[in-house]
Amino acid sequence: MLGWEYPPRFAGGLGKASQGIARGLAALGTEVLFVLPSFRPRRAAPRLRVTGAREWLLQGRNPISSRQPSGAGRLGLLSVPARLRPYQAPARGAGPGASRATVAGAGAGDTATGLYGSGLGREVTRFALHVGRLAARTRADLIHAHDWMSFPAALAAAAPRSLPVFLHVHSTEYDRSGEAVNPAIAEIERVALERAAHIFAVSHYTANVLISRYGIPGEKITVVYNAPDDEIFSLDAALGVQGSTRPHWIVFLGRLTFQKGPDHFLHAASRVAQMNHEARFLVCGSGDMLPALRALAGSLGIAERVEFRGFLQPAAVDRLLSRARLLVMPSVSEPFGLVALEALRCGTPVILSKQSGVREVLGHSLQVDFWDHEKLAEQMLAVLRLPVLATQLVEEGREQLVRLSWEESAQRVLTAYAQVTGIPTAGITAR
Amino acid sequence: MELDVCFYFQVHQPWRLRAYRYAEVGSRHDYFDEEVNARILRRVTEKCYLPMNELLAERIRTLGPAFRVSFSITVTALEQMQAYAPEALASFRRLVAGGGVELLTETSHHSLAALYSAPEFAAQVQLHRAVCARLLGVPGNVFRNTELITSDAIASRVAALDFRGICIEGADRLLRGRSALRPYRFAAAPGLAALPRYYRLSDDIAFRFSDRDWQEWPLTADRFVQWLDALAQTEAEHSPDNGFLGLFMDYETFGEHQWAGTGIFEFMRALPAAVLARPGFRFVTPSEAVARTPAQTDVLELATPVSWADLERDTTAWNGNRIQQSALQAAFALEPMLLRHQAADPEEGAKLIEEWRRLLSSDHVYYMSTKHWADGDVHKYFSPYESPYDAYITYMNVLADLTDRCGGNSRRNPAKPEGA
Repeated sequence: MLGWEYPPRFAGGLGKASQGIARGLAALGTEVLFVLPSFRPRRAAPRLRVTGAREWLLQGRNPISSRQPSGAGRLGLLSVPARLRPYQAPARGAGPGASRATVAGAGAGDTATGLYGSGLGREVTRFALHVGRLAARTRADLIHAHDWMSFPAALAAAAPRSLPVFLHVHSTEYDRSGEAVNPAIAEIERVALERAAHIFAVSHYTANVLISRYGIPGEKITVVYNAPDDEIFSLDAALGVQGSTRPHWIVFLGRLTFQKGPDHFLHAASRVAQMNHEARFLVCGSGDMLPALRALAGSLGIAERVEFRGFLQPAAVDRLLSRARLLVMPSVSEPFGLVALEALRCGTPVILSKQSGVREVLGHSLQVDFWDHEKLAEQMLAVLRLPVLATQLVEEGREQLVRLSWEESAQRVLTAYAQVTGIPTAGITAR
Repeated sequence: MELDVCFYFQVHQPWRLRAYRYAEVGSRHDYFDEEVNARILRRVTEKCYLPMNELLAERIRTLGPAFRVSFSITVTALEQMQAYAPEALASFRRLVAGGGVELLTETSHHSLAALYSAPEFAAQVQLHRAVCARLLGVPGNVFRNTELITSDAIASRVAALDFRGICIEGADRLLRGRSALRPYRFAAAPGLAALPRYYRLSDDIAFRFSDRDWQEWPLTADRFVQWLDALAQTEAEHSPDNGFLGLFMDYETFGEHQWAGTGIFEFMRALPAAVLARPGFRFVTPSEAVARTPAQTDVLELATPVSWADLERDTTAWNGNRIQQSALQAAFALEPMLLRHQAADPEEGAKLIEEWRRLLSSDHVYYMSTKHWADGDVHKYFSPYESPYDAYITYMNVLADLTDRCGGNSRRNPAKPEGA
């Protein structure tokens, strides 16, 4: 399994979601080696190992495989259903494009991606090169990669043995940039998505983006929802609902980028501020829009009511959400929106953008078009002044929340593995 | 066996609210969505009220007094007809005047007052009778409560208002294995005959008629009457008395819920003669059914209310969650304030009370039901809102303004919000 973020080294929901899937698969009996560009090797759970490609290469051998009785070479960059042998099973499901062809990242190189010169582009390319070198020494049943940064690496890893590639889309370039896409990144996504044996999308919303923007046939996509982090979830019993005793804090939490809609949050906030003199607006996150947002708060006349809290560590996020009255997710395009689940976990109601994936699993929620500042303000005011509404939103939201689990999501992944590769998963699913 | 077939059609339209914003509290007092209400009423008039009234009038003319039906028409529906489609009101008036039609009494505004305020309940019952008398004709002595919500307490209250009968849901929970094909009385109110709705056959017409996956589709009048035959014969083995078959349903079934293209009008045109062709089968009005109910008959006991809604057949469609309970509590809490206001300023007070009563229509809290919201179902079908929560927000905004207007102090000081 290839990824770019893994807790505690992550910036957003991608790391958490990647971890959730990896853990869920391991819990269901699948052997998973999770490789990201740089990470101190560790055994994260039974059957789940996480390592950086750089660290692996530096040690000259798989740093984890040496602890494995059955020996080196067995561990892939891959998700290996542990009880499923033989490994010699050919990659029947691999699409023709995935077979030993040149690989976008490794083969085409920096210039072809058009990312040469950008730090991120170099890293993506280097990751693909490293993984490509490691791939020859490993064996596995399949490759599973999270988001475009690891897509070139996935194709590189798959090439030597024509392994089937499963791509997991947590966000597309069209979500992140709207119409102003980076053509090089969009091209990486397009090539990889076309070559993939199968694709996981975090919502139907995202699946539709893949279909409409990249022309991917719907039958090649399985929707796999994210889930709440159940380890922390249990703590929440102590937090209680307590909505009406909390201060009037309304939270925006996410990168300060176009995609997340922090400007829409401020526009609605200025309407709320006129009607509710107690409300404070907490903007949590970092990003390139920060100076513009400060200026906007000033021009809207609410500078004194808005706090820019910067990027928060997970523990700080939990503390904040457990005190706030409301979380608003006004994203312009949100493939899923894990932060909504985190808020509910902390007993905090949420307002969701209709342009989000998480609304598909949280039907019991306030929803609004991100551009409808009047209605967004209306809903924010209502949550502040009607405690019964807040309580019911939390209660009903959490009822829906507990139906989501990483194991169930991983089960959907396993089922798709089996359908595409022809490797039976009966032994695993029975667990 | 003899079978008394009783058709009762419910006609109701609520005053739907417009998207009333919190920022408008204190400055604007127009709560209702004129455009949407007018559009819906005109559509239903054209698709259902006019053609179906015409159909019934023609059948009554042709078949004579042997065919008869009954209606309950809410004041909110009558007043919207007056405002938006006078031809609908005229059509109902002609139908009632032509004979063979009995009117039932209910709460004027299709409210849940029976559950929340005895004085308001009595006032709305009286108002409904008065408005019907003025616009259509005098209602009979049979009552139907909003959505057939009935309990021992409600039955006693209805009996105390001099009614002789009440329409009830023939719910399994209420009848406990007894037949839904005959009238009962309430232990709590022996003077009140209880006419049960035979829900399976009623819903065959109201819900399943156009369902192509239904094994009985397409349903014909002959087939329907064959079922009645079979039922009557089975029933005769258990009881020597007359059978009573209550076919109670929303009038909008005809042409609105079941489009004309489904054949629903042809079905209803053929049904009366098909029923009357069977020996021992006849049509009755609710009053006639009540008159034929033996003084000594099986009694019902009902500590908690039953209704005709959802599979649960209880009141949770209207008061099953927190926001519904909060909305109902806030709405009925205005009653003493409004009465004081009316005492001080009768003209303005009457106006406010009428607006308040429009807010008491059960529809407003029905839109707030989250019971099956996520699955998307009949609640969603009827709701003009995007979500139950949006329904609640709008409703509470309106109530805040109405509270202001009748001298209450709902306007929270922004620095000290409600419930803080």
